[in-house]
Amino acid sequence: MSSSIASSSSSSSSSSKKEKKISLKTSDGEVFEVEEPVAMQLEIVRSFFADNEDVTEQTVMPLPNVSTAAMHGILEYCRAHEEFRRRMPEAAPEEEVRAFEAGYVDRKSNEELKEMILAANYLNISKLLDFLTGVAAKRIENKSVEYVRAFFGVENDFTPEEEANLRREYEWAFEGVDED
Amino acid sequence: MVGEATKLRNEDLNLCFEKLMMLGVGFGGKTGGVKMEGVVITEWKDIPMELLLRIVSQVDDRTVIMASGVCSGWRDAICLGLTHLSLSWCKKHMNELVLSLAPKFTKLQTLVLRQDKPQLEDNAVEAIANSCHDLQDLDLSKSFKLSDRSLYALAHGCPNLTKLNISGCTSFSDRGLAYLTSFCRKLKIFNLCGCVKAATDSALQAIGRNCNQLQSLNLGWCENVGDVGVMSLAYGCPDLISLDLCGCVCITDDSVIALANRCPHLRSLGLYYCRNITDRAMYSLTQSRVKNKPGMWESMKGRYDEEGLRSLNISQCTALTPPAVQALCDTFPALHTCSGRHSLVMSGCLNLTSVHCACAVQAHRTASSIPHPAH
Repeated sequence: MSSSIASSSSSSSSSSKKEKKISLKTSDGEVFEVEEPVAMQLEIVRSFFADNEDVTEQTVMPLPNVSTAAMHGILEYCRAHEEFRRRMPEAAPEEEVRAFEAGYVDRKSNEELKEMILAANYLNISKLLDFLTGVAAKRIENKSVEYVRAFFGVENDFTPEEEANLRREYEWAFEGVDED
Repeated sequence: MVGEATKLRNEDLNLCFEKLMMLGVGFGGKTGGVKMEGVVITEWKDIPMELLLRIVSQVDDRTVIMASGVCSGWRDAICLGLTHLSLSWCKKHMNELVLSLAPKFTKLQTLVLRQDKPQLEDNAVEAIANSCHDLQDLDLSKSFKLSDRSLYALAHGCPNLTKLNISGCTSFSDRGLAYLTSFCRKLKIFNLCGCVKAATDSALQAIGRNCNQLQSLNLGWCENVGDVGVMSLAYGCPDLISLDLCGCVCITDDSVIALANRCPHLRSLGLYYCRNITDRAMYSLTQSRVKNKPGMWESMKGRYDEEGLRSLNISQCTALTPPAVQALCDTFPALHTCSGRHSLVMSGCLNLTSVHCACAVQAHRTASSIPHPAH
């Protein structure tokens, strides 16, 4: 932290107060130039730079498990949170955060949600992962098996016998609950 | 030389990148055909177990059961990963559901089967005992259809139980209970409230002999409990923190004196309706404080926060007199009679109305020394 403050003050003397950027390359080869504090929310990036002192600003870090689309979503979230943090370093403006997160997730399809969960897991952004898995949980809560299978595009691979057993369990469990 | 170093550094970096790739390949269980483009997991059914469990841990138990029936991958992940389950919401078919689920959810550590209307039968508890050997916390409260067969099964199948609630299971006998305690010796929190037939002195002697780690025991309304049983507990369970003897009408001062002398960590004691209790019991508790805490006054003061009675119910103990109870109240500053905290409960003791905690005096002082903030 202290070193980044020092570098920013020295660069401000040379008039161009440019923010340090980190280059991240997604699975489909696109390179994102990401502001350092935003990129550092990605634990995998943070530990990579912490463990390898030799890497320079020119280093492009490959992220083979993250698609360009997922990266856009991830950065949108991380940038918003960096902005919240910058404005209110003490305590995040909870209502604003909630409003942002609600709008943010409304725009995501199940496919996008899945990709982002996988990406957030790989990039090790625990806050985002908690949030996204919570969203997925809400989307399947109190739904029928058929609904969830269709929703996530999962195929039923049980034998008819297994399926019959599950159906009974499921009927016992869902007695008196409305189906969608 | 410089060029050499740079080359080396680049090699290190390449190695790091390769490691990143490896991480990617291992992830999701899909291999093959992976270079720079990485692995793209295309199906929800392939999402890694830990992620599925992270989602499932945030849904209700009904949905967990549903999710385990989505596909075999999800089922296997949930069966392996699920450690907590409650079926208390189940109004009709809890027994069938337990029979069906217990053999699958073998990693359960906590299982809550509390019922409003008794549904569970012995075969369900046997299924649990046969499959869920890691179980640590089991709530069977209000299962009054269960017989000693359930206790025998748990004794053999679930030796790691540390928390067991069988309150309201009125059919258990004291022999069954004694048998259980000789196997489940790690019990720390045990609720026997209303187990009139099971909680006899001989069962309590077995608990005192076997369950030396016991910290909390609820014997509410077990009217067969007598001094012999409570004294066995006091001698066998030195770690007791909380003991509820509400409605144990037979016990006398001897029980309380034994607890005061042998259980230095006792923080909560319920004596509601124990009408044989007299001032002797109160003075023994007061003295235990002095005995257990020798040394400088300063060091005692520091320990007041953690040790000593914090909760005492002496409602309907009509033989008690104000000096004995006031002395107790003064000795344990965490005992309050004031409405906000109310940790010394004396309802029905009409001759104790003069007993007060220190708060009344303090509140008066505070009110006169601090000006009203609103003006």
